[in-house]
Amino acid sequence: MKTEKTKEGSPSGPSASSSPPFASRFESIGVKVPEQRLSTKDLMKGVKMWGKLDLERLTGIKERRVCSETEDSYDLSLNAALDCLKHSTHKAEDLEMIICCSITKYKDGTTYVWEPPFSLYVKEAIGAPRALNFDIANACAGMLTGVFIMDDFIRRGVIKCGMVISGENLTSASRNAVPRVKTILSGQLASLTVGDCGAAVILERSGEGKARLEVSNFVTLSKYSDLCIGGPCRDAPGAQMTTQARKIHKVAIADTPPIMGRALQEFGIECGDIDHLVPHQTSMRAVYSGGKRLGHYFGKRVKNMVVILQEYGNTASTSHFLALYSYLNEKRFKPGEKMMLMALASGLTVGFVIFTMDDLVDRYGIEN
Amino acid sequence: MGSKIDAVGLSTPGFFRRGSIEMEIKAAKDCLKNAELDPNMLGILVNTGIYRDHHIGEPAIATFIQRAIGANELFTGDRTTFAFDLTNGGCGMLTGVMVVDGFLQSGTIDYGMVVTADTDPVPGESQGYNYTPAAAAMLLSRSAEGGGFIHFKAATEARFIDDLRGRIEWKQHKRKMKNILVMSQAEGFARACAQFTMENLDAFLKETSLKMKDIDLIIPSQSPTGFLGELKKKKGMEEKLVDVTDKLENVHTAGIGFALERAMSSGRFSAAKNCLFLTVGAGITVSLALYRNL
Repeated sequence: MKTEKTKEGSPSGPSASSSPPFASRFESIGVKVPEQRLSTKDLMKGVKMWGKLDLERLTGIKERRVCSETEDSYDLSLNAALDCLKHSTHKAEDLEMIICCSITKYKDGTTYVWEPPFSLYVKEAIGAPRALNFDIANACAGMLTGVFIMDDFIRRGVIKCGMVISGENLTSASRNAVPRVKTILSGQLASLTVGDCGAAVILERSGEGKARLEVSNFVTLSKYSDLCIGGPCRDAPGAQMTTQARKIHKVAIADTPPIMGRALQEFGIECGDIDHLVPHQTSMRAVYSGGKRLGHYFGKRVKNMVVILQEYGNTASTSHFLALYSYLNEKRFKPGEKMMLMALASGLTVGFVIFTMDDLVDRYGIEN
Repeated sequence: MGSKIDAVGLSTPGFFRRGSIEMEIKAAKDCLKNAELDPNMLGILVNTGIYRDHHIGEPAIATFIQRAIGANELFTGDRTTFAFDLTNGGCGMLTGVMVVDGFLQSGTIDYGMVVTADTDPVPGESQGYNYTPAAAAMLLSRSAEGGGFIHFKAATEARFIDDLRGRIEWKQHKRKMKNILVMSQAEGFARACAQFTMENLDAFLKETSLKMKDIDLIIPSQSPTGFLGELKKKKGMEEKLVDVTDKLENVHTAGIGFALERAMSSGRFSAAKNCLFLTVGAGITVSLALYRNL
C-alpha cells in the first residue's frame, strides 16, 4: 500500500491537530468466542491453596470461553475478522491497513509466532492484498492502541478504511497458574480471571451525519511498568503471567481520573454526559470501585458501565470490543448515545476513545 | 513537509549490558544526548525489536525504556509520553518511523523515538538464532524546512510467507520440554528478497517521479543472511548501499540504524539529496522510504 502524504492529509504543522481534515468511525465490529465454556467453580477445583477463596464472588466472573485443542490466536483473529466483514459494507479488498494487536500470537496450537508478522497471515487468509500490515503489542490496551494509530492515518487522509484485529488465546496462562496459586496473595491469581476471544473492528473515514471518533490522552505511566509481566511459561506450553493486582488497582484508581478529566475537557463534555463507559474488563469489584472513584472525582457518575465479565472473564486486548459487540447484539445502545472506551493496561497504559453511537446499532441484534 | 532525523543512538553488548532492554536503554539515552533533548519532550516511544529478553510479551518493552530514560513516568497534567511495541519483521524500525512520522505530521506530538534491539532471548536454548545482538534508536521531529521523510511504501509477497520464521515452540531441550525459540531461513530466501525489493523499488521510483540515478544513498536492512550480497548484484546498487557487515554481520531490526550512523559519520548522509531507506523482512515484506536532505 502506498502511504503517500496527500496534500489534504499532510497538515502543515502543529495547528492542524485542532482542526483535522477528516475523522474516523467504527464501521463494523466482529467477534469470535470459542464454544467451550469453563466455569470459575470448575477452574478452582484444581487450585490447592491455603485458606478459602471464592474467586467468583471476588471477581464476578462466572465462566469464560476456552480454546479447544484445534483453536488458537490465529483462528480467533481470522474468524473475528470474517465476522467483522460480514457486518460491514466493505469487502476485504477495500482494506488499506491491517493491524494485529494480540498479546498472544499462537498459531498451530501453542506455537508463538514472532516472524513473519501475525497480521500477514490474517491479511492473506481474508484476501486483503492492498492492506499495509503490521503488528503492535501494548498488553490489554493493544486494540485501542491500534485504533489510536489507525485513526491518525485516516485523519490525515492517508487511508480511508482499515481493520484492527486481536485474537487472545490467554487461558494457557490460567491453566499454568492453577498448580502455582497457593495463597490469595499469589502473583498468578489474576491469571485465573482470563478468557479467550477474538475481536476485529473496521475503521473508516466518517461521513456526514456519522459518528466521529475522538481518540485522546493515550498515556503510559511507566513508573509502574513492572507490575504485570507475561511471557512463555518455563515448564509448560503456553503463557505465564505475574501480576501485582492490588497495586495496579490502587494506582489505576488514583491516576486515571485526572487523565480522563483532561480527555473530557479536550472534547468539551462532562463525566455525567457519558451514557456508556466501557472499561477494561478485569473484575467486577475493580470496575465498580473505579466507577465510584470517577463519580467522586467528577461529582457525577457515568450513566452506565458496560460489563460483560460474568460470561467471558478478562479477554485482554479484545475486552472493549467484545463488550460493545455483546451490547450491540442485545440492542442495549441507541443512536445518539455518548460512548467512552477506557484503556487500562499493563505498562501502565491509560487511554480514551469517545464517540457518539450512530447507525452501527442497525447492523446488530436478533434480526441480524 | 516531512519528519527529520534529529539523532541516532547505537548500542552493542558490554560487560554490564547484556540483554535487549539494556541495549535499547543505552541506545535511547545516547540518542537523546546526541540531540541534547529532554526525555520529557518525547510524545511517543515505539519499540520495534522482536527478539527480546526472556520473550517478554507483556507489558510493551517500550514502557521499560520509557521508565529508564525518565520520559514522563507519571502523569503531571503537562506533557505525557505514550509507549508501545510494533513488530514487522526486519521492516519494523522503518514501519515505526512511518507511524511516528504520522503523529508528527498530524501535530499530535513534537518528538518521537523509535528504538529497536534483538538479542538471543534465552542464550543456550534457542535453535538457529544467528542475529548479532545490537540496538539502535532514532529521534524524529517535524521538519520546518520541508525535507525529511517524504514518501513511504510497503508491499508483501506471501508466496514466501514461511521461508523466514521465528517461533517459540514447545519442544525438548536436552532432557526437558521447554518453550524454545526456533528460527529457520529457507534456501533462496535472500535472493527472493532482493528480487522482490527491486520490483518494488521500480514502483517506488515511479511514484516519486525519480530515477535510480537520482538516488544518492541507500540505507538498507543488514539482514537476512545473504540479502546484501544479492542486492549488490543488482545493477547500480553496490556503490549506493551502506554495508556495515564488515563490522557487524547480520544485525536484524537495528540494521538501518547502524547503516545510517555510518553514513552520517562519514558525511555521506548529509551530502545525499535523496536518500532511500530500504528494508526487507519475513513475509516477504518490503518497506521503502524516501528521505530528502535540503
